[in-house]
Amino acid sequence: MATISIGEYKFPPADRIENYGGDINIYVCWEHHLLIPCPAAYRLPPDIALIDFLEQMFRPDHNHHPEYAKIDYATLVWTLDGKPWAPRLDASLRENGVTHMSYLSFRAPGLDGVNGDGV
Amino acid sequence: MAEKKLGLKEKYQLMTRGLDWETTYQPMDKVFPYDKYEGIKIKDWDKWEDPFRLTMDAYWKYQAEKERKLYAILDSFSQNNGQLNISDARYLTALKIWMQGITPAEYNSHRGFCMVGRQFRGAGARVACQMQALDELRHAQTQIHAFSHYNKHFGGFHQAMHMRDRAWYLSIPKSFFEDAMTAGPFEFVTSISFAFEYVLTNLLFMPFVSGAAYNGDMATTTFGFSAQSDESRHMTLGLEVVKFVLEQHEDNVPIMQRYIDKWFWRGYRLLALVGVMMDYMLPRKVMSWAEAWGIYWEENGTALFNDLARYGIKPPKYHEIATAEKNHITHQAWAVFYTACPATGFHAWLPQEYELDWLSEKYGSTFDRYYRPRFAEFARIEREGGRFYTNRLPLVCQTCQVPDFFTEVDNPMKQSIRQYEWQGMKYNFCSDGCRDIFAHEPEKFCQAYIPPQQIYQGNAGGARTLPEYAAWLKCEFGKDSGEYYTSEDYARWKAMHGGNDTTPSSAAA
Amino acid sequence: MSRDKVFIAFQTNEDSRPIVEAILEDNPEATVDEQPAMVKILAPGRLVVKRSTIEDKIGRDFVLQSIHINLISLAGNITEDEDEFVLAWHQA
Repeated sequence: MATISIGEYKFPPADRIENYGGDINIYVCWEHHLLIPCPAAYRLPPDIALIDFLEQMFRPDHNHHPEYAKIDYATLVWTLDGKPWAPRLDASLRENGVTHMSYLSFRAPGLDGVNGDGV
Repeated sequence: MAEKKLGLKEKYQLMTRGLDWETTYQPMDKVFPYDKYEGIKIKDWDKWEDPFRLTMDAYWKYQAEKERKLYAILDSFSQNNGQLNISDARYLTALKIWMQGITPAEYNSHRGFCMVGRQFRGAGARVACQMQALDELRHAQTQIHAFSHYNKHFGGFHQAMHMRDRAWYLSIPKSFFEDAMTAGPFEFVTSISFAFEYVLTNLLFMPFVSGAAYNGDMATTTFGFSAQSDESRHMTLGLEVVKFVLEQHEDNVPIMQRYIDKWFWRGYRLLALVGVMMDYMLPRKVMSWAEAWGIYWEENGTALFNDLARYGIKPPKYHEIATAEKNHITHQAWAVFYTACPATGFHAWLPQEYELDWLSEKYGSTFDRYYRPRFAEFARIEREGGRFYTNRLPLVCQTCQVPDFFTEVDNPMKQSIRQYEWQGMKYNFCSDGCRDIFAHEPEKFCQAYIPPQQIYQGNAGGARTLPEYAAWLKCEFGKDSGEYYTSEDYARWKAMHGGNDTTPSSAAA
Repeated sequence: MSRDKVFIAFQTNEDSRPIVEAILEDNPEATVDEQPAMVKILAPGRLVVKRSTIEDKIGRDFVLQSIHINLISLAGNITEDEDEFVLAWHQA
């Protein structure tokens, strides 16, 4: 279907990749830890290694969660855009198939939130 | 003996149809160029009936009387320092959100009705839209007047119009009304008058405003109910529009069904803000969001759609999801408010013990299991001298623009995310409802001004971090935003009460 | 006629008190739900507000349209003339 309009209706997407100066916008969710209620948004270069993203960007934002220190990155179970995903930690986001507006989520086996409550 | 007065029907006929004419210098299609392109077919505009048969002369008379009553009370409220009589200064967060989010929406509604009041070729419809345009302007003005008294004493009321174009949580109502205003006139009137006002605004103006009375806020109760007296006319217009359009041509049915589906879902998402006001911002409790949803949607909505079934209209798509979520969304939303309040124009706090117990009682199936443990962990962190804030901008739904705190209906521990790819680009959504709305009009929703993305693109005064962003909103931490119990509002409230903490300890007045 | 409930709600005040009394008198099946600052009257399927009953209560003429001043909300299809204001669901 298309928008019904009174004339030609064609506009560029507000969040097109050209607006990010070579970076991309992605979302990342640490599942089952709802003390942080929403997936987090990041602007970053696509050539950053996944492990560098986790250590340099994701950790500072999330390590005030009491369980973050217990995470073992090697055991994380990931999905990318809703599909199972087995990324290489030392490869870049781009090499791992992450693109602009991708949604990444992971579970850390054995960590189910404070007291196992999903908190 | 005075001359016999005109009857209601006769007067309505003369003062609407009697003052209208068919244009001859220019064809009607050129005078009214916008009321056909949506595909809605109108055979006879004269079939339009305002069941109230209100004419402009009567309108002025009753509105003047409402204004006299309202302003007498507002004067009395401010002369008697009515702000001292509210139940607790935490309550003010609800008014701040009203001022920042709802009042500008009233103004946008005014603009929208000015437009459609010009666009419809039927005189009866134009008169009704004219009255509603005036009503909506009145609502914006009376709300600003009422809140201006609170602005003298408390933070967060000072920059509503500036914030409305910038704040992440205010893009929810802003985008709602701008989506409606940029649609055709029939979609606009179905969205605002029917889906929003008829089906959903009772949830705001009945239990919440009644709750304002219960919390000692004479100013809000008065403008709220004064506005609602107009609202019942708007609701009637909404139902009338839908019936009129459906009766005019059977081809209109699927178009109206789509409008109803879309705007029910958008309105429901918007009302998450009202739900959290009722459950978390009224220190004295009247009714829970889930109870209000039961009465005003499950009961009244069912009656309404039973009535509309004769036209072939079905209850709005995904209404079962909305009902299934009723025991969850307010708690999830409050966790976002609690953790993200430094980047807002209001304060948030952890519920008091009596409130946690009230929530446990009202939400027996969900609160203790999913939400009380979360508040307990926040409380533990507070006891140890911390305060858990979010450090990062959230994922925001491309359609409703609500930060995606929603969870799967069958798994309240798993965030609900939907994706849709269009012209090589991915878009993220909170729900099937929002994804479907996008998929129907991707050309429109791909243009949405999504706050986190705009911030990252450098369009928020260059802000990249949450504190920089808050400064750009003109909100000062501690004064306008952040934790309530360390705020200037709380300190001032205590000073107003002889230095005592007057936080209530029970839900009853 | 449907038995789904229609309702009408007014601000609680001295203007609306005789209106509420009149409605209850004219609609034997109606029930009242009193909320803070608000009184809501519900009835199965249909509810009528009669000018003459209100006039009996207040002892003077009453223009039915003036119920707008204290009206908060309603549900149902409306039919109104000088003498009666009716709320009803049509569908069986």
